[in-house]
Amino acid sequence: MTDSCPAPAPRQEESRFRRIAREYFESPLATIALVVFCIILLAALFAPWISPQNPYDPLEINFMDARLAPGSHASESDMTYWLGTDAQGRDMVSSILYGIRISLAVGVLSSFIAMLVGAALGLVSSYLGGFFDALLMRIVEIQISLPSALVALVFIALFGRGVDRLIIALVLVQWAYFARTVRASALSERNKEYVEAAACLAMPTWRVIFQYIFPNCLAPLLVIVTIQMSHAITLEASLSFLGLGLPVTEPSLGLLISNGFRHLMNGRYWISMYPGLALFVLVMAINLVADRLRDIFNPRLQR
Amino acid sequence: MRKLSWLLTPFMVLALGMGGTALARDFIIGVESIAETLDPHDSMAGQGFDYRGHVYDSIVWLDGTGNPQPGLVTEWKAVDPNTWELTVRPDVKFHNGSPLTADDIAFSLWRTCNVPGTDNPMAIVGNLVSERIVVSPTKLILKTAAPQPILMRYLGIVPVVSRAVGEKHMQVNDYNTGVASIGTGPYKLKEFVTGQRIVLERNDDYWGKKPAWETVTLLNIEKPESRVSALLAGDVDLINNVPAEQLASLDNNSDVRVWRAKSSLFRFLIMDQFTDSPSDMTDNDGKPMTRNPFKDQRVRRAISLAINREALIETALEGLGIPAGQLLDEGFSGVDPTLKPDAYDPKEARRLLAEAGYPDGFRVVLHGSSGHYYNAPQVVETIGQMLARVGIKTSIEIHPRAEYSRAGRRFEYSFALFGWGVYVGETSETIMALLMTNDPETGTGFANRGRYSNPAVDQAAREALAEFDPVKRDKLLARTVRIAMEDYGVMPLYFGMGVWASRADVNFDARADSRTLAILAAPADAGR
Amino acid sequence: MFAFFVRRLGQAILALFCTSILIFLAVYAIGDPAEVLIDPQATDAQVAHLRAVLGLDRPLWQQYLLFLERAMHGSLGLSYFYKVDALDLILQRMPATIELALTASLLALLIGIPLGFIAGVRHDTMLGRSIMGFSIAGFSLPAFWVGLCLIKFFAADLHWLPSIGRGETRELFGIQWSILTLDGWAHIILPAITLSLAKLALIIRLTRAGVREAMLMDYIKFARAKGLPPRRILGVYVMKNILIPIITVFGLELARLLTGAMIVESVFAWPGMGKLLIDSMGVLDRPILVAFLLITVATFIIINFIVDMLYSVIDPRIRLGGGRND
Repeated sequence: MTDSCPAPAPRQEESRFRRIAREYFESPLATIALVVFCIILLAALFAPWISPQNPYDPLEINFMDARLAPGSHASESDMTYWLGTDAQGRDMVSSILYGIRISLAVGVLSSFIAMLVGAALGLVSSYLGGFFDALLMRIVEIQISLPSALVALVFIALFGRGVDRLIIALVLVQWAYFARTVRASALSERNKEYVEAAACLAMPTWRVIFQYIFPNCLAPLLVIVTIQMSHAITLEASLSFLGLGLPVTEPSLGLLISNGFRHLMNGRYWISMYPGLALFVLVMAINLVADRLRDIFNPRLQR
Repeated sequence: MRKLSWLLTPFMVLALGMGGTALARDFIIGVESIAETLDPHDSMAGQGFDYRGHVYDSIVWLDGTGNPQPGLVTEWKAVDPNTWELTVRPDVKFHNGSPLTADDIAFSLWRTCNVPGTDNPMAIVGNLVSERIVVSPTKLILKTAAPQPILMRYLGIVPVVSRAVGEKHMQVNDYNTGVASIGTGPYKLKEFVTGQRIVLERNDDYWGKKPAWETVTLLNIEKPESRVSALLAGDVDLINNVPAEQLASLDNNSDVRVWRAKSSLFRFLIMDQFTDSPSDMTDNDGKPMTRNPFKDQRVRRAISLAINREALIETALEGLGIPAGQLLDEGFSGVDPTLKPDAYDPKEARRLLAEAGYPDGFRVVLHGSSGHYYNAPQVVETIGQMLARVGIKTSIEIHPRAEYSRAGRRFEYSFALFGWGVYVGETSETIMALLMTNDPETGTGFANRGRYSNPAVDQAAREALAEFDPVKRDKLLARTVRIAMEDYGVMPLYFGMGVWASRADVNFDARADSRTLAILAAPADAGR
Repeated sequence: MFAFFVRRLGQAILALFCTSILIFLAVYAIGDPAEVLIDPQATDAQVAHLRAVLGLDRPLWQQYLLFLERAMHGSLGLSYFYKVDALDLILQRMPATIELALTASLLALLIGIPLGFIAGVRHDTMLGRSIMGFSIAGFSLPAFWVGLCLIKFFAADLHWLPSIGRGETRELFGIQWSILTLDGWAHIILPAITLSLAKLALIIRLTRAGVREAMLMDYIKFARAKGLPPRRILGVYVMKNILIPIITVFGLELARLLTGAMIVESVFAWPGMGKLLIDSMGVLDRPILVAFLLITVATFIIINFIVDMLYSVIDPRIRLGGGRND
């Protein structure tokens, strides 16, 4: 960060936040993206209340309504399947809402855990330096260079499927980015005068780290966590597509697309097209937000 | 293109005329899975049978429902219950020109139990024979440890290799490279690319009916939609395992023809009838069960009545199945023709549940696998929906294939979808594996995943399995099946179906054993 | 230079050795391949027999020693499933992956650099913004879904291109290549486009960032003031400035494409290494998994090594400084 204000006061923080917000909303595209993302987020949070049916409850799904085209009417109720039904007779609107919920949950959770793990390691590494730092950075280098799909695939193939293991796999492929970023920002902060001053005042190390260094790493972290969230969602979808993601009974967007793949060729496009579209809009919105944040915080920061 | 066609037509006719005769002799089959290795004794899976059916002959020829017909062995008889005398066809030659003798058949039988580096998948056949006596080049005597009335059916799945070649090249890889792949079959091996394709060329000296195609290629196209598009594009002449979703559009397409056959693939539910407190069952409040509902025949029957088999097949399999009420469909041996699938009757199901003491049902986990049986996850989910409607709250768990097999072997599932296919066209093997009491000592009931045990079934089965007279045997087997089915030892759901599609100019003999062989296909104009 | 070379080489070999142990332990410690490989209708005795034949009943350290001994003789073990040498099998599939990765990379470079230039020079115009918008879409589109859509439109609906597989091949240097035939190109184009999308987006952004940065530099301003033609300024001076980051990233991304194309390969049934890996995971074919992961790590170590060497040639300060900065 260029503005190195010694021990920033809360008030200045607020004005800084305002400045960021103002800059952010200068871009109409980014504003739209943020609004879209918020709508999707709310829809996912309130899926159980707003979706026409609960796609996981066997009593609510009617297998006799399987593979109906968009706009068809249910045979045993007065419901309309606006986006059609899948091979089990599940309403696609409901499936997509619940699918977004799962995809988002997995994406958000894994990115935040990865952020915590990565940021902690990065901070410690930057402060300790020496052998630990060198070792950690070697590991980070290897981790980042390996294709994330490969790492996640191998992990899941070895340790088995399941939500917990999926999240661990996603954390595994993300933490290094956070560690690298935090370490870099922390190192640049460390050499600044106010940190040296704080150290001179015999402040405990952890206080220096958390009170002064860490807040200054937040901006780049925010950018990375947004980018990683979209990566995690895409990666989870890809894994589910290969049949290595979440259980079939609670399908994420990727699994919905995968289930519909077989129907793509014979005109039943809705089973995989609409979930695909939902996934694309979600990921695109997050990426646009991330892009704008990156421009605001640091125009020179590269992927 | 259309405007130009009058101009091009004469050239195209010319081109077709020249290429046509040569090209029509090349036959490309798009298969869902291809033999992993070319060792003829290294697989009991369908793709293994499909490959070796081209390069090798088996000891006898089996028709679609597993009845032995003269092949490399032309005559056979049981001299006594433990001794069989086989007459070998005299003028058969291996691809390398050496003549076939009884000794080669004896060697092939021995090798089923001695394939280096494998689990000897064919040992179940080899182990039936305790002694092989070569009397003369055309006479072979086989001794069995126990009476084996249907030995010949089993021998029908053993491909015959040459002893001279096979002893020199024992390893599986020798068959992959082709040095050991010498059979007597209608086609010779030309090229093998692991996991991708097998190219075969016609054996002009074949002893049987002259093969129709000059070269045959088995091409591995895993994805069902890809197989269909390859067929529609004319890149392949025949595909197997046509996906149900595509059947309707293929049926209406005049460029291709669809071939269907019933199959011996039996799909059923197992119910834990052994433990007193099954692990993944609870009452409606989530408390563990004090007694096992599956031990009550009324509950088992209620489940069967709650399943609408027609709707299940229509929804989950898009019509690709036949409702099952027993172990094999009519047309096979050991079948009771009066035994029909249970009709859908949710009212009676609820009544039976109430009578058994579960008026509000209970909670249970139904297990299924992915990548194992065709559309298994959909089948399991649909059954879950159906059971929910009579009060049995069913949650679904889908496991990957590996985990599923292991857990099944260890009886970890109380309620699960399993499948069984037969090689011999008869219910005997199914009864022995699925319905007889699980006993590691004798090997009976080795696939009895619900540990169903009924002395009446065991007794009737033992009687049937030892019977040599085909008519009596058929009756005894049918009787055993009836006892077990009325008791719901396993819950029959449906029989899978074999579906192939070919270009319009190809005739295909769709058989109940689901074989995909070039010799079952012929150019349509030549007739069959 | 030579000392630097030797030191880097030593590090690379050590890294490879350490990862080999890790990979072996990770793959061999988990799961039971015997259950997967065996026919579901097999008896318990057959399962036990197979376990013994594959050596799965031995302790892990014995299995590792056996693996090391075989590795000394140039074999990473026989595939459990195909029963042929795992390394041979992967090498047999490698050309298909290499040609796919190279085609995709070339596509990304040939389209990405010009687009990136436009977006960089005209960053305030509608065109520039659209290109950037497109690049974000490129990041956001899941590859497998793009693949499905391309198959649906170009193969299923329009019948212009084949939907899957690798086309006719022709031999060159003893290896079968499909890019030497017309049929091969028809087959490779859809998967290559799918695979290149994300890379294309990356190249566009890299180029744009490089161009914008360079345009602000004094020597460019000076060249413009001097009245050099814009084409020469962009083509020579700006280009030079952005080439190094592109080479670095491109090297790494190529390696990622070689080992990370499994999803696209799986969608298009492209018979490359990635598809082999996915198939092998399904059946827990340990020798193939180990061989594949070793090859992957080796590829990255070698490419990192080459990039380091190239760097030290281009920029001697790195050599003197003793390593790349993070």
